[in-house]
Amino acid sequence: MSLQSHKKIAKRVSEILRAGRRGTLLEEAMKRGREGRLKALQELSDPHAFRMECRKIKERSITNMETLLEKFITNASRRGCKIHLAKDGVEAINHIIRIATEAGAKSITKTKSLTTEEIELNIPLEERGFKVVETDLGERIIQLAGEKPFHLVFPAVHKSVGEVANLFSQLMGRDIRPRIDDVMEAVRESLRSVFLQSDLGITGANIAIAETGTVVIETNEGNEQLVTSIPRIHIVVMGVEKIVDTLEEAVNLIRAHPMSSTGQLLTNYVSFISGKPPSGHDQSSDGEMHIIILDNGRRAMREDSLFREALYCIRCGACMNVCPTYSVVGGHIFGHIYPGPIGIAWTAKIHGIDKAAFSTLCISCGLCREVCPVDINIPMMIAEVKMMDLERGRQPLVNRTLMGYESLYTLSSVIPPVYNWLTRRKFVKVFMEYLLGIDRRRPIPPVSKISFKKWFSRRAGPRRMGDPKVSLFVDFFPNFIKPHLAMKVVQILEEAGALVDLPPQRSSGYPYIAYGELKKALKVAQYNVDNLIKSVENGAVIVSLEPTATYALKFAYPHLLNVYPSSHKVAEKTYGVMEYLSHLVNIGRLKVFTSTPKRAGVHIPCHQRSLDGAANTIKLLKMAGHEVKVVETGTCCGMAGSFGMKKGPLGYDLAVEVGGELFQLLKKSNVDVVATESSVCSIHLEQGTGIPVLHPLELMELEHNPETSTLNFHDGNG
Amino acid sequence: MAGLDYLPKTLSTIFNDAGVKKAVAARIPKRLKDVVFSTLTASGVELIHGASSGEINMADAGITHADYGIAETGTIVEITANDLERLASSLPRIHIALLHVGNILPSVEALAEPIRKALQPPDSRKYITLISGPSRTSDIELRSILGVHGPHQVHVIVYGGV
Repeated sequence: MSLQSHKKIAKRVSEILRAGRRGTLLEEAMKRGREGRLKALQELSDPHAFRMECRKIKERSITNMETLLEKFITNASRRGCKIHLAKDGVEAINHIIRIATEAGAKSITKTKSLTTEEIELNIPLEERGFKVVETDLGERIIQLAGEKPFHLVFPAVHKSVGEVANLFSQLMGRDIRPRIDDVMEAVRESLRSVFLQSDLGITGANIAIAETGTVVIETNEGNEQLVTSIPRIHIVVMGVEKIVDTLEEAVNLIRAHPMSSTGQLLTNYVSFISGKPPSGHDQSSDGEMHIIILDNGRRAMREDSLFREALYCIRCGACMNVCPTYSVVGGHIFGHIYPGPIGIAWTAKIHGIDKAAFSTLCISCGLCREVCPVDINIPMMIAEVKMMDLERGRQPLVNRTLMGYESLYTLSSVIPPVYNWLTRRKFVKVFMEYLLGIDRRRPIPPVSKISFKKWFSRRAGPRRMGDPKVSLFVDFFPNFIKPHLAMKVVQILEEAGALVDLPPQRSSGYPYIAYGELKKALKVAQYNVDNLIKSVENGAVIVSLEPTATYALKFAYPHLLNVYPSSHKVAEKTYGVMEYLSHLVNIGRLKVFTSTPKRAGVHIPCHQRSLDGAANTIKLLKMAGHEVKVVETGTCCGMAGSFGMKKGPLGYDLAVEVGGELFQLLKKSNVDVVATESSVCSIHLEQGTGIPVLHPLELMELEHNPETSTLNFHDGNG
Repeated sequence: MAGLDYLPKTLSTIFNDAGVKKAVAARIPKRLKDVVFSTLTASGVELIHGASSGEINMADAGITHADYGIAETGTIVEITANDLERLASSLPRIHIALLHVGNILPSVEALAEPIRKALQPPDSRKYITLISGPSRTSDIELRSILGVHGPHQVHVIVYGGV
């Protein structure tokens, strides 16, 4: 990316961090959204099925876009709607100006519509002398303040009651007390006369239904009815991707949207608008309903096999509610017009890659995809945007260094004691910070005397027979820093009778994806899959120690190597280590215990949430005899792999800010030890809390269960 | 809940508690008209004609008849082919909706077919509005406030029980 835009964003983040932001309303809004969504999901009888159904609805909607468009136009026209197609924002605005001028309209009221913001409609209208008033309260506030939205659902969440009272005091020419009741009365009064005098109402549409030519609008404030039923003319501005076929599909979506957004069952008002009836008491005057259907880059997105999915977005805001860096900086920095994770993809495609430099704020935790109600592959889209951004400039040095960590450590393990001694020296750390950008406050993990790969290759008398066959995937940390963990896994598996091998492998390469170097990521993926497939075809399962590596094998590689069946086969046979050991305990091959039970707080690494969500860690710790508590904020700890090692605002500082709440929760939870499978999270959590952080395997013993007879090892596995 | 005998009492309690002086009525079925209008008169509430949005805005309360209710979400559904009828439940501070118990559907999904029927014939123009409570927002400091642009209170009187 252009180093300049990277520096600019880093500067803005730095300003925010200096200003201090603990306990902001944005965080509160996001938390409510996250918790509301979870609660609503739990009430569904089958959340997974519902999610897949919603995704299928949007898949059909986009696949059949042209036929549905025709069907919608036919059926809406039958109800008297005038349809206007607009290839871009300029055309849409011209249509609207023409309609408004021909109708002699003077005063326009609007409901909240992101599509009208996308094309920046208000300014050209005001320049031509139309009065435009936003009636959604959050939108009205930012209209008066002259700002862009801070959050998708709560655009004015950054404004205090006092600030809002001031805005309305200025508008109404009298003092309004900074109390919420007074402000609401003023808002209602100020807007009531505007509503009654308006001669043109402009809205968006959440959904368009082809079967009946209907437009669906979801609101809470009661402004939509006043915008659509008071003026004689109603203009709808909608993207062409909003059209679904049937009422049944629409009914599903009117549930999915509020559920994911805030946890509501339905928004307070849901209006199905099918044409505009004649108005007036005697129905004498002709109402007019115009529908502007906007392309503005959507058809091009549809042609792109990766970005096509971005069109499935139902604008719920769940992705930004969970995004750790968004929670610190908000929509003014993490966005252009569309904010948040999905905003990165939309901005790059609709507004241009030069407006999407904020993609650098993504730390690749993957949580956005976890919460997306239609399972959009947002993380890989963002990786692609980062790659496109890189083509405009250079990768910052610190990112390059951190991506090359494997070669660095291979070098270091030539003489570990010297390396370890050096990396503890202050002058070396200062040097590394200035030259390489690695924050001096981060302890460089000391490299072990012998790497796991070396140890494994030098073992005398490795087994030749055993069942099952297990191929280990160790990744960077278990190889260089904590080989004793991998050694323990080998010991446990061999005692249980397994045949363990270590195929040729490189570390997962996930940092390449995180920094947008997709070509390099592809090379690593190819290398690893080419080697691991041999194990799989030989009847082995792959057991991976590091959650991010497991995630890479199971999700990222099949995506990158989509056309290669071997990548999918390897993904299918890959298990996280705790999941696999838990299976062996289940079928009676191993027993688990500890001689020193503790109060253990479990931390769930982000990438683990797509795997077993740490359920197996929790289970085994409990079975071993520990008192177990999951401690989480529902979002990332902030480390995000190598991100938290970097100097400055787009690194250590931001990681600590994001992790602040989690650190507090852990300290308050009175646990003796924190257990997590992620090695990098460990560094961050230990430094942030002072509590010892261990891998769950360091808190238990797993031994061969002698009571087992010749059980079929492949029960449920393989 | 009210059998038709209780309807006057329920209505007049609402009028008194909320201080309703002027009301507008929309889409009240013939069989209920007498009861509703005589209660208005008896409670001293002036019935406004509502020939324009400005007039409807003068009413303290809007009394309407809901076409359906949804049990799962506590929603009432109004179907209308008239803007002014729609404004009767949107402009005044108090919204009173009469709902026949036999029109309550179990879930949101159950609405799809009735909506399909209501939108026949294909050239008809209609609004179908789902209302799940008083208007609300949390846009300022995330503090939940009822009664923004729409009604502050919604009373649903379910009648027709045995």
